[in-house]
Amino acid sequence: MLISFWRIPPTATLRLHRWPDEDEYVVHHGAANATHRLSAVAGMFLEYLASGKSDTSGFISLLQELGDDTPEITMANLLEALQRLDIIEPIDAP
Amino acid sequence: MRLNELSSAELHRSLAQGLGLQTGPFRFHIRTRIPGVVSGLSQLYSDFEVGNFDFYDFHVRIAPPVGLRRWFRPQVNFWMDEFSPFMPLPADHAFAQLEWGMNWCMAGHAHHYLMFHAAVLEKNGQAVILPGDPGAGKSTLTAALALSGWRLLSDEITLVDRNDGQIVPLARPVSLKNASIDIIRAFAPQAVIGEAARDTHKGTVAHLKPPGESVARMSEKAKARHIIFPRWQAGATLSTTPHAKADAFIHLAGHAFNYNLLGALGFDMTARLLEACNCQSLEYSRLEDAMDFFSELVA
Repeated sequence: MLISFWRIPPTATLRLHRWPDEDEYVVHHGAANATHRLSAVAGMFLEYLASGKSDTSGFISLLQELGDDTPEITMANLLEALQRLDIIEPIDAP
Repeated sequence: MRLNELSSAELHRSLAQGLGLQTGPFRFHIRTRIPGVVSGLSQLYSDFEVGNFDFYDFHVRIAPPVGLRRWFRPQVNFWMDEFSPFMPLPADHAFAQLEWGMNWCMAGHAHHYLMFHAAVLEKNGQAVILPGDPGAGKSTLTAALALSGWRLLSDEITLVDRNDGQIVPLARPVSLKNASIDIIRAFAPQAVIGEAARDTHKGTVAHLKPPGESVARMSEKAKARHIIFPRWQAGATLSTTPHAKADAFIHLAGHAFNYNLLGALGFDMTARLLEACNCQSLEYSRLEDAMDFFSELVA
């Protein structure tokens, strides 16, 4: 898988929430006024992007560390799903 | 003044001109001459505060429509500020129509609260929210708990205060449908249940009078501590399972009256509410078992 770069669209005004001892997240997309339930991995990726990182390679490594045997597939599915919801968008390499 | 301090003649006269009724934080100005509505109010709202208030949230009226249906197969209609949101209904559905109309007023206009479609009761300072899909037995459970010493905060609309996230009471008659009417009569023979409206779009509907203590404590907010998703299942042994908060969030938001309207505020309020609550799914068949479960929950 090619390394790609992503960000949370600045206009999306996301709110992300996870409860202690629970894996899943909920996210509110302010621009769309839409709420979604997200898997633990999807929520972690949004936190990863929110921390200022943008490359998929770092997150794929993280997935490997967490025991994911097919991190590239997980990553590709994640990008497709989150992009479809306008929660992330591709950017050029910084 | 409480409604039961008015004589029957005074109540008829007051309602014909318009009578103020306080329910939770809302003041309704109700005007009607329909005998079924007057008797329903007299029977089920007897403990409520009434009077001529300076300000009303909603001006409502129940009256026959103009034309032949005033006389031929009589019908009644509900108006808020002279706007009628519903089709006319048979005259013997008049009290039920008032109840539905009052719900419509609050659910459609009280956006200074976050409003979920859920029942909520309180005991030992802990409010328990009961969301539930139609047919899940929510109203039956609510009625049984209200008749077992729990404080009824609301049967239909859970009001959440924007400022402190607490539950604002809105104790009103509990809407019982079909088989649940006889179940509650058997569970609590002393329960006051109004005249049944038959063949409504919800089947047979009758309303249970809210306990006097719940009405008297209507200004006392409560902190939500539990969200229980009930499901009545014939023959089931009572069982509970943890309910994921993300799923509870989506359910509450999807069944809210104004979650989307409140935007990010609705998201933050719902997230905070769930922070403070434990969430479980409950399956049961015997009301007595469910009562024991709820007692232990807040012990």
